[in-house]
Amino acid sequence: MNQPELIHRLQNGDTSVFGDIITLCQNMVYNTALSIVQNETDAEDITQDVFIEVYEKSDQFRGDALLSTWIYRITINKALDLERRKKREKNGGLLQKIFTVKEEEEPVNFNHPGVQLDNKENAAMLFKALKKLPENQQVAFTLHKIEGLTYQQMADVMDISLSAAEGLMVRAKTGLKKILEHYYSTLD
Amino acid sequence: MEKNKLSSLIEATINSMDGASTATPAPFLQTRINTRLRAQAAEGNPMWEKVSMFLSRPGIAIATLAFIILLNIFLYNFSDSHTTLNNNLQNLQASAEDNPMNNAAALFDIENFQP
Repeated sequence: MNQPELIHRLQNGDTSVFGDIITLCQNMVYNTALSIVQNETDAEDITQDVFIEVYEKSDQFRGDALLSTWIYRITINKALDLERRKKREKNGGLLQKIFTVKEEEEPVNFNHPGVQLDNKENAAMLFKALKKLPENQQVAFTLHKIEGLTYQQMADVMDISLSAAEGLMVRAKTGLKKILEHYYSTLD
Repeated sequence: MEKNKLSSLIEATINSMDGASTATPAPFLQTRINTRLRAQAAEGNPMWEKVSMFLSRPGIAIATLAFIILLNIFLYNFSDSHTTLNNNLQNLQASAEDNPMNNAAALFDIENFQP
């Protein structure tokens, strides 16, 4: 069954296709969420939240994009929301900010379960650097390099033009190079 | 670190996810989602849930039933007396038509007689 048919049937109250939608999209949702939040428990929670939203808000899907594009958008929004919430909690209140000495936050090492053993160290460094990028560049890199979407698919998900998507990837790579250069030079 | 070595290391790091397999969620994801959906559906609207729980108490249920029965009896009697009142009014109207002196308008005219 194709994507338009699946969502059409769900919109018409055929809940039996919900399982098919989960089977079809669970890996892409989990992998995207995991690449952004870099925590397996959080990624699991986001994956569940995404499918619950798909089930509850299927009537809001207008069909002007692919089902997978819509699901990618929900996933990214939820993952970024969680990241922002975590940052807010970490930063704490105003008084705490004034009375504590600010230290440079270093992201913890994250090992993506899909990476081959000989690439684990480099991938951990990549994820550390990704956290330092602006949100839109982080999302662009995740969709293109980790999820393997084309520039056009990435542009559709991010609701930007093709040239903007390409520009975003160039900036993401340039930003990553700078961050990594700084990391590796301090390791010496 | 040599500049060439550094740039190749950076390039290798940026491309380190090439060929990586997709991460998969823990098994039985669908079961967990369905459980959450069922739990949400069972919770429903908390306000209505509280109302229905309150109404389902035996004392409240019996009192509500008694109230509904009394209301029915009252409404039945009220409609009966209303019918009787209507009949009386109709009789009065009929008698007023038969005898104009019984008519309230006629009495009014007599009392406010203009010279």
